[in-house]
Amino acid sequence: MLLQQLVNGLVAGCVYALVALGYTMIFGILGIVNFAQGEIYMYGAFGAVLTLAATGSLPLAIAAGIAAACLVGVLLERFAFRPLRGTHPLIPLISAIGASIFLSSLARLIFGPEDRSFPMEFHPRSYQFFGAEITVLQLAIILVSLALMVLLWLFLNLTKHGKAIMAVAMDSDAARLSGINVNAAYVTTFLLGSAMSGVAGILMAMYYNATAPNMGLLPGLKAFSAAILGGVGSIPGAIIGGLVLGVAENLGAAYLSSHFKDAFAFIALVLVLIIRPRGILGRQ
Amino acid sequence: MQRRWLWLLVSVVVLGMGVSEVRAEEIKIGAILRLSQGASDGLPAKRGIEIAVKEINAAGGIGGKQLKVIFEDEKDSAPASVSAYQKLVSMDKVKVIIGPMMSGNVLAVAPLAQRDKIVIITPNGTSPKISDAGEYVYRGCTRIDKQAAALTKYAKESLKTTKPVILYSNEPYGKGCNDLFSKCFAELGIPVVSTESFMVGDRDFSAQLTKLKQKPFDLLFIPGYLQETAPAISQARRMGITAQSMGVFGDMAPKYIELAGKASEGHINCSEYDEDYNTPTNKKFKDAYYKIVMADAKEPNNAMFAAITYDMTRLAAKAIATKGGAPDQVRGYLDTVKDFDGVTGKLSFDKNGDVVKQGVYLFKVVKGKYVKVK
Repeated sequence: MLLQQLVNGLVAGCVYALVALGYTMIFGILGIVNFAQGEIYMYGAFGAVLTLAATGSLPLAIAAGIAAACLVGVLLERFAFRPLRGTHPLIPLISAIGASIFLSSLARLIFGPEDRSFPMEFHPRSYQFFGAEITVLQLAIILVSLALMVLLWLFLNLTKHGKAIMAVAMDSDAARLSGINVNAAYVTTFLLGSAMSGVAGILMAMYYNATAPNMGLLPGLKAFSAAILGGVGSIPGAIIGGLVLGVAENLGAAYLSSHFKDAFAFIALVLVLIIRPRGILGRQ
Repeated sequence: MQRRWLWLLVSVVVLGMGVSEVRAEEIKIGAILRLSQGASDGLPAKRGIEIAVKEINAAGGIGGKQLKVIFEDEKDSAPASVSAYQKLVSMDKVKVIIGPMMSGNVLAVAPLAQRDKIVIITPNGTSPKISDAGEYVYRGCTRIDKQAAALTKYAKESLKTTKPVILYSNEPYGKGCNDLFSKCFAELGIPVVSTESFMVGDRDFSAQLTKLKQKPFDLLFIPGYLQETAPAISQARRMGITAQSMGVFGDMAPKYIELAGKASEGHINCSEYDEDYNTPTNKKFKDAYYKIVMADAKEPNNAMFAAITYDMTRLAAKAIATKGGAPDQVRGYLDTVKDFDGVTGKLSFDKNGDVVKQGVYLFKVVKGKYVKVK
């Protein structure tokens, strides 16, 4: 059972990590917490589900889902955050919470309050190894998430745009002085973070077979915790934080009690923060 | 100049008040329903009321006065339900309130209804505690313990269950179900093998299901709301769990089958409403309800929740029409009504204000449709 629960934890953890990357990148570069990250995830899922229902094409649906998430992310940056740049950090935070409520209410108005199933049935084939079972979909979630994380790392470290983002994260004034378009860097960051949250939303819409306007709330909260757990602003930290959180809550539910499954995630968070207040990989 | 505008404004407001005064030839009742959170249950309940009101008004209203319903949002919270109640009673001066829908919120509003002597009728609160909440508190659905008795008896006698397990929603409703069904199963000599729970909003049940799989079982009972119970059963099937599945009356919805897909096959749940109940009233109601559902793709479809509020609204209107609108007269009617021609059955109320009808229906999902088994 241990191995099976580890697999379950890894699948959930990968999704937390993807959303946590959005939080941590935006925090790293702008110093703000984007509490609407869970809603971006939800719009990604809806974009894919609605497109798939309308066209029947999975690649098109995935593209539409990512596009929807990116659009919401960019609009957020433009209208909820850019006008407030340079104000006290609490103000964009409130703006983010407001945007989050607005976006989920808007989704309820546009899409209706009901859960939607994913309009495609997946082959329930699974692989056995050492007594644990992993379905094709679970394997796909883990692989896609890992691939995205690697791609993100490559983008940030090897491309010009990526390096520009890193530079702005270190010191935005110095970056501007050396000729980097800071606004473009912000937009790119939001695009990347939103795209990853969007992919996470699409994966979960497939895996859990349920898409609803309030689906972003809990994963958003857990991903936020994952980002803090890993050290806010640190990209490998967000990945490790997500995985640790996913595994911790599954093992806690398995060996202690499922009545407190959500609590284990947050207990893990508190413990790490007591021992290491800056998070697992956070900078001082 | 500015002052003139002010006077204009004042006169418009005063005139407006006058106009609404003229229109006051109407009888108001209130409704506290789940219109934002849990709107997939609350909107059908609202439609049920609207259909009833439309019929009553088309037939001349109550004593020549039009019936009007003021809807408030329950917001899945006790404080919101209480303030909705206060608004309905103090500002709108309603005679009767349909709602709230959730047991916890009914229990929060009940003491106020007792104090103000306002009749409230909950369509869906199943908690046994509501029976003792006071003589002004009525309920239009069967208590959960009666549902539990019917389901567990069916499990033992017809399904030959010997090893049930429970996966419940960890909030007052699911937790209450867990306690009650555990007791019922134990009394029937088939104690529950293991119990796990999940949170409202959870979509990942793999940790709990993996754990349940450690011990053999032949019945998987999942009490909760369909937003969780449907994905839970679909995950269970994907993980190779083949045991019979069973649920409470929230699973009685086309949405459940849609969300769970093939995994819903064979699922057993109880219900308050049988669509094929063969009376002219039910046929009329069903036609009206499905006309609304078909007209809008976004409209949630749940005939059961609409059927209960439809019956309760007609009962309330009948009470006001025959006895007058004073609270004790409404009570007097509800306490003595016999064999009311409802779409959920022939209705009366017992001394606790709980509805009495033919008993609990049990349904099974066969080829994507609910089929009555009892």
